[in-house]
Amino acid sequence: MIFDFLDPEYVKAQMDKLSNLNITLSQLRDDIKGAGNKTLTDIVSAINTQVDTKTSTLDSRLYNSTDGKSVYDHLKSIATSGVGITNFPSWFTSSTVTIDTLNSTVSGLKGGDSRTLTDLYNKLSDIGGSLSIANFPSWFTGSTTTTDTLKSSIDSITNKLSIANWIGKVGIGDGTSVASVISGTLAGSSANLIGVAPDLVKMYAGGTSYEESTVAVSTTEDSSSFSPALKFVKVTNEGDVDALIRLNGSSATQIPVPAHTGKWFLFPVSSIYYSTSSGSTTLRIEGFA
Amino acid sequence: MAKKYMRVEYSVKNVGKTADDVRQYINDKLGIECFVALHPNRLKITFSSPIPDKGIKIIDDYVKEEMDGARVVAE
Repeated sequence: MIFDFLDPEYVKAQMDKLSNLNITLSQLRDDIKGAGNKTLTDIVSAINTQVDTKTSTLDSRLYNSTDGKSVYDHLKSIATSGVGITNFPSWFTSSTVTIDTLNSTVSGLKGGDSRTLTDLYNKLSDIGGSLSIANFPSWFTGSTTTTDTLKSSIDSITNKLSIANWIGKVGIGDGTSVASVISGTLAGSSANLIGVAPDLVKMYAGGTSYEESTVAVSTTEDSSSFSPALKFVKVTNEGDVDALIRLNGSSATQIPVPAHTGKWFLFPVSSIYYSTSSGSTTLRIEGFA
Repeated sequence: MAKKYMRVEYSVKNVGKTADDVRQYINDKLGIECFVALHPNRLKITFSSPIPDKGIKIIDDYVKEEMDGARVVAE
């Protein structure tokens, strides 16, 4: 009788190998499917879907179904016909204008003395270094003072000055303007002065009452009065002693009228006060009222 | 026909008044415009229109009372 048997050593060796399997087959299966529980079939399906999608997109880029041209078609067209440059100025696409032409034009910008932009920059830098506004008033360099501010100030002054009142409109004799600002010279310097134009018409026209009187004058001040006021007065000292007179008030400044001289006063006089420093004299007073 | 006057003069002593005072009095009293010159001893009145004796008398009285004056010219 014959018995087949397995070599125990062999069996043992094989069992040792099996003992190396430290996980179960079902565990191995789950590990292969991963956390997403995807089978190889799932992966193949997903890849196919992506390939289809990307290929479709790529196709649309390489071939435009609207105009029926592929990338190849466009490149061929460019190679054959060139690219339209319709947005460039005509001189740029002119067949007769060359880079040399442009160079000539740019060179012309340098002017006769061939100054370059660098020259210009250097010159401006020099000027910038030389400029100083230290001598300008603070309001000129003030950050809040603008030309509008100046204009506003000038307008304000203009509104206060009426051009109509400047020289040429001083109404001599017409009584419309008796005083105005005029340009003139004062002590050798030009200045704005007040020009006075007495109303000569009112002063001298229509005077019908002629006054002529002789009054004795002594060291005691006396006076004569006139109503209405004389439009002008001529005072003559007919004596040998100097006289002193005041016009239109006893506190007015004394005006000397030396002996045997006279004075004209071309303005209204309502009263004359007269006296001498010593001795006596005689004044002749004449005028029209 | 009563005489009328255009100008009168008075010899005066008291000159406390002014020409304006005299002219104002005549204007108020007689309604007449005039020119008055008043010196230390002489008062001159020139009328803008002739006035009768009656008006002169009123002025005479005023000058006598206020200036101790007397008329010396009337024309």
